[in-house]
Amino acid sequence: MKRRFTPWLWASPTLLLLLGLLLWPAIQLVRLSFCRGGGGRSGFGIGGSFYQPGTWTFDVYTQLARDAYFWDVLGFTVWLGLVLTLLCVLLGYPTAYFIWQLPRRWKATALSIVVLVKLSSLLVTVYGLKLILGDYGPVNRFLQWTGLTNTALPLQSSAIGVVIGETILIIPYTILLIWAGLERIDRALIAAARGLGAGAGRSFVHVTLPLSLPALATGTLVSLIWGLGAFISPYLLGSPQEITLAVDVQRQMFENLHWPRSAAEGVALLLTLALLVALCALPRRWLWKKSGLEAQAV
Amino acid sequence: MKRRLTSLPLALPSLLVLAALLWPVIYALWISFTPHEILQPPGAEWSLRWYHDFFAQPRWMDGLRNSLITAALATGISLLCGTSVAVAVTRYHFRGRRLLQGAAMLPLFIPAIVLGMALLPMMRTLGLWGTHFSVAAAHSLWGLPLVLLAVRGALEETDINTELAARGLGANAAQTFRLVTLPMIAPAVGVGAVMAFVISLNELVMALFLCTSTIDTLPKVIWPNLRYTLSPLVAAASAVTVLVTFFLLAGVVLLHRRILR
Amino acid sequence: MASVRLENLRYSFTGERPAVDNVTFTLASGELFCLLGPSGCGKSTLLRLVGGYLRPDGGRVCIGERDVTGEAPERRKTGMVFQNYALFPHLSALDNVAFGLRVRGWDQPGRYAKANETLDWLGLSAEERTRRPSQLSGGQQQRVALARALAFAPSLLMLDEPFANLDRLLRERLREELKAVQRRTETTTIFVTHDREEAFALGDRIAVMHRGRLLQIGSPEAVYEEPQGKLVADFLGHRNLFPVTALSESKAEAAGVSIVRPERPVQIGDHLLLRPEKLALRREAHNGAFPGIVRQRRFAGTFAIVTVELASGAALEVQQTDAPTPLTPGEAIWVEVPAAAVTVVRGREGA
Repeated sequence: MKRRFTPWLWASPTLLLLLGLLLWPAIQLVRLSFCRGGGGRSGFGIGGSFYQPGTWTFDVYTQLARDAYFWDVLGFTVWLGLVLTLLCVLLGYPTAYFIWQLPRRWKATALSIVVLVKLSSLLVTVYGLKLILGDYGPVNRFLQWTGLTNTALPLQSSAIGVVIGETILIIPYTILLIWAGLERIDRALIAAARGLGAGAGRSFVHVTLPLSLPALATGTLVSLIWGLGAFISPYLLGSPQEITLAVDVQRQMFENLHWPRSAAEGVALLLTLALLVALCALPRRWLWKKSGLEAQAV
Repeated sequence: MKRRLTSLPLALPSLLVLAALLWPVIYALWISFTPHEILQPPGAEWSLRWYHDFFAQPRWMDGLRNSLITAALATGISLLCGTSVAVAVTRYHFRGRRLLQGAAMLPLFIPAIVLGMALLPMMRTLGLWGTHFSVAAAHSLWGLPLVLLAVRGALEETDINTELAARGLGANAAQTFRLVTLPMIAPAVGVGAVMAFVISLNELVMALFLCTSTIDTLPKVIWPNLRYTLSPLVAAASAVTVLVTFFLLAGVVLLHRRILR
Repeated sequence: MASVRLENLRYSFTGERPAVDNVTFTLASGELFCLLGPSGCGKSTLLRLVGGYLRPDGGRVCIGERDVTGEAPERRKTGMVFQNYALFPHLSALDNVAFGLRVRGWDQPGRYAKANETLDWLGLSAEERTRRPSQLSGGQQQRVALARALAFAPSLLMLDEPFANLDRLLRERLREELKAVQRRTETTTIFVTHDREEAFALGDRIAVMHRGRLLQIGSPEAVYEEPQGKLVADFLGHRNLFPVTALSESKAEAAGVSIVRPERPVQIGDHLLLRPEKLALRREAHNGAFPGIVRQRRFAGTFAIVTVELASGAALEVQQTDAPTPLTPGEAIWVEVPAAAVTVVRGREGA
């Protein structure tokens, strides 16, 4: 059908939503980071406000640049993000491959597990982990029983806890994305490779792996994005050493009531995200080409 | 090609990962049935006391109620936006189609922390901070792409000739959509709706930023207890959300079976 | 029941050559008009232009006395039948047929009565009417599609290769039923097909279309007997089409042989059509018969087609109706070309 603006008519609710709830707040956020702090303390701005609207200053950014604490936090955030991405991909790909190989009924069960856990309250997962990693939880009891340690390890307040917790939260995305990419592979191709004499290993390396590269790239990207934005696990399972940018943003907003600063940290987070994503974009382009598949919109 | 059991080196880490995903949830569920005051797993004796406690507490029940209201609103917005943009993207060819699709999917690629943090000042300036609508609108940013994905697939599979036939028979665009297209894609719309609902129900981070005490959703009510009070009550509250999610997803699976029929 | 007029209709898909190139014709009210052409010639696009699903780049469409060029499909009162039926899967056959009446505001008893009446014409049993399309056979589905398009008494009925998915017997049967219903309701109809047999059997008039242009319009007999242009002749399945290589006062040369010049005007560049069914074979040399060798004999039931290679090298197909003894390849044979067998096919294509 060849009508000119009808599709845009159909798209208008979405456009409204995206413009109003995505673009506009993003602009506002950047604007906010250039405001002066309100100096408000407790109780929702009594004795001051969250920020002074209408002001323009670089104060917050200079403050951040000089603040060693901020750079510590940023450093940890990036480190954590990369570690999480690595773990999610290294653990996620084999799991996705494994699920892909399962007979139909088991495949459905496995996928349901992944989806259910992901969609359930994140809190349940982290709460459960806190229990498991707690001083009196099964892990510590097991470690003490085997004699590896003498006292309870503060696992639920450590980097290990954060990494484990956040990996569990992120890896379902990775698994599902990679699995979807594997499912799209035409099985006839693998059969053809086997028929031509390639063993299981070689047909994987030369057929399956290349064809799954785009999905792998997307999975890596998503893991990176969520990893950099990690909030729940660092907050609940980390000690003060393990504060990420996301956690600090929340703190600045709700405890320090310094909104411009939290906005600036948010901008910093977005920039870090954009930078790392852009760095990954180049190899991604290369991966698409290598796989020989057409680029598809997600 | 006869499929033999996959090799052990592959199966082992995968099963461990799946177990690791499942175990915290199961453990928390297990704890929720404990008769003890402290966080000790139930031994021989299982009790529902914590569930009773949960349903008796007004704050927790308010939280559940708020969650349901917000999720319903979010689903409504997501359906409205997601279905209409799916029609735009599948039934028409126009410049900017790819861009529109990418833009609609974009929110899924933005961490919740960024969304919540950016929306708070805006909601405040608009005077919407503290309304169900603000949280629902934020949640629908994630619901929209999910509905789009679900509905787009269904729209691409339906035969466009049926819509042309309806038009020729005298139905205008709105009638065609209502009487022909919508019934044909109804199962997919259902799947999208459930996805959007579940995502909203369990969402925490955006709720942390946008909820005020009157409209606290259940995850937000549970939240402070997670840091400090590790009471089995929390386990019971979490279990309730898991069960609700589970039943909704089971409904989706049954709906999916109906599509495949 | 209305007349239909198309004037200079033009349409191209973006950036490509025209799919419909300056098409003009008029249909009388109640006429069954067949649009014949190979795949990709633009006939389906033409239908969609008439139906209002596409907006033409130029030209007009008039249905009845109204210029409907700018109007949306739902206002044109046209019924369309698709090759893949396009029945609404979630409605029963009866509800499908009643759909057009429903959106026009007919009340329930009224529209079901009319839907049932239409289905009566097409011979669907009461039980079949309650079924969903997925529970009906291809032939039944197409009957429902036809009934659906006819129930609201459209001004124009359009069919886009509706029987292409059905087997031969079913196709022939549905063809007859379509013709019967069309006669009964006197609905102006455009029928699009690539099957010339179908076009000949159905059409009051047929039009041959190629690359967006109408090459010839006329009754089936007229078009078959006097194809205008090599393209039309080829498409209608004519064999023995040879370009005119030389002309004299009384003779014309084609296929390397010199035959009596036809009475009709003829020039170099035109083609001569030597009708296989009017050529004769002789076992011995005969005055005026041309020598040749039998290359192939194809048996087709009521007749046989013999391919003869003439001395000039041209291959001539001759239809043999009674052959007491079948000919063997390699045999010497003589071909007679009576004047009645020769038709002139003008060099320029055009209607």
